[in-house]
Amino acid sequence: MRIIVCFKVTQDLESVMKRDWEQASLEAFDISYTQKELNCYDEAALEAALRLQDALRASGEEAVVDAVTIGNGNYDIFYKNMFAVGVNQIFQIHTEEDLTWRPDAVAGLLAEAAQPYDAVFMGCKNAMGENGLTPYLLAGRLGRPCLNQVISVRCAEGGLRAVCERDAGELHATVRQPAVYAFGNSDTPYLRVATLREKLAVKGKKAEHLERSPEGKEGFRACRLFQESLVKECTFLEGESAEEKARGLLDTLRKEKLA
Amino acid sequence: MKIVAVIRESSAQVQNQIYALAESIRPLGGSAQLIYLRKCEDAGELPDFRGYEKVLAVRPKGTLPEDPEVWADAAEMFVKPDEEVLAVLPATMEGSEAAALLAGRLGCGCLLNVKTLRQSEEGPVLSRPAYSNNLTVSFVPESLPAVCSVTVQPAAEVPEGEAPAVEEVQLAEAYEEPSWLEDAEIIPRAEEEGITAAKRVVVAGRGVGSREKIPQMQELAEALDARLAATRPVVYDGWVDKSCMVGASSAIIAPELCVVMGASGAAAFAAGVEKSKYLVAVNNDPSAAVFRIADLGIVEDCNALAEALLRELGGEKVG
Repeated sequence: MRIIVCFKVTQDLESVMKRDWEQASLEAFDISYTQKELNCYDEAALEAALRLQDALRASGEEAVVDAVTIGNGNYDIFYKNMFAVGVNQIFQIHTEEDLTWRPDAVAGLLAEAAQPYDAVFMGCKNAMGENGLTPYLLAGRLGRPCLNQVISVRCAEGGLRAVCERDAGELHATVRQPAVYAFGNSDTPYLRVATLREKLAVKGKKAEHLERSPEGKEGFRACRLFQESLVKECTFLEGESAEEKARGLLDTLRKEKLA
Repeated sequence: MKIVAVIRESSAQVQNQIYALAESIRPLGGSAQLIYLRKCEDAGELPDFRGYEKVLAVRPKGTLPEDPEVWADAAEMFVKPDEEVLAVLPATMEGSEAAALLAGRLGCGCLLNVKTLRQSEEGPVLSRPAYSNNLTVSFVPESLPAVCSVTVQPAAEVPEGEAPAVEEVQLAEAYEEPSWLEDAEIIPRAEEEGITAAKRVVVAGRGVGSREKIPQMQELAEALDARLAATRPVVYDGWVDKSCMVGASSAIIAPELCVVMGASGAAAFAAGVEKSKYLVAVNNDPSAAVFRIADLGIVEDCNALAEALLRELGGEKVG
């Protein structure tokens, strides 16, 4: 089975300065000073793909995991670990345009790379654009079904057994390939870390870099980016000790008829 | 522009979805039509449809599976690609998926998890969260039809006015399973497990420090007659079960009382609890973002405060 994982390298949003959130706009919002990290949902998809690869190989089947990303940065630090933990090949698609609000253009670029694969694994959304649409648009372009909010995927007779979150509970489905799997609150959220020996074994491996022009019909145009002002005003409970604050809290809850 | 809400009959939450979508659509002006997909042929009484001008109750042949494909199929029959229409679905897991599928079939634009809709000179403006809920991004449709899924606020207000006329439509064809599906079953979540229904919630954040401190938080939750919930990092560290997770990507709660213990208040988490009627935040960092969404803030170590609260209550249960 050939699996491709679509992933995005994002910025660490926890360390964005307050001033930058306050002054954010579509024209000026630069948070490139923060650390780069793997988008959390894509990281879960990567680990799930590697676990599936392990399971398939253990049962004597051939399996390969490749990965694809879109971006112009230097992501070598991520590639080093990915190669070392078992990713076979990585494609980095470079493009001049900002695709933050253009999920259809993103899906178009990914579709070209994903076409030859049996299964596409990806996160359900990225932490920055948060459109949540890319998996559906990609599946649409590939003419394949899309399973969203995937928790886990394992080998099964007749296909892959996927467990997905649903409003009423968990969907357990056996799916024939090819298909797109978009991971949400996965059972395996963190990517394994390579040992030094594993890293040395793939020392010379490099990602393949591709130049592409995006094309897509979005249907919606982003017109404003801003931070919403808060309506709540927090009252701080004073006290010299935890005991005093605990008493103060219980008194307040009683006054508010909450205790 | 015509506005059409599309809701599928589902759990006990459906009445709230009907009210919440009506409330979200209201700022666009004019009135909306509702397409209400019934669960099965012999479904019982219809819910209250106040807030809509007209309702089309669609009855399937047999039972309608809980599959977004089917939802999109049915919606497609009533929303045409040549109409100037904005189709609005609830941003539940299946609702958002059905919205994306419907947009794909109509070949039009789609936005998921829209928080607010308003009318402007340029036409409708739809806003949704971005950058892990730290920012809001607004969009205008480049053409119509367009489809969106709108976040359903818990405990929406009951709209005023008269109940609209309901027209019933019977679908002629039965549902066929897609060829890519070998087999499928939904294992339902027990209703009582859902933290969304809880009136009081104590949320444990990473500031709790370790798995060993969770029983104390559970004890506090019980003493306050509350359910224990947790932030994403606490769940992924394996301290608390995943069914207890709150935040933008899991449960959005609106209890009467929410006590947040040791959470920093990251925007994605805040989106899950900010609708609480009364929110108490406890954190030993006075500059923690969680205080921005709190009614009452306590600068203190959350474990020390939990201990003190339990001592103060002395086995007594409040609530």
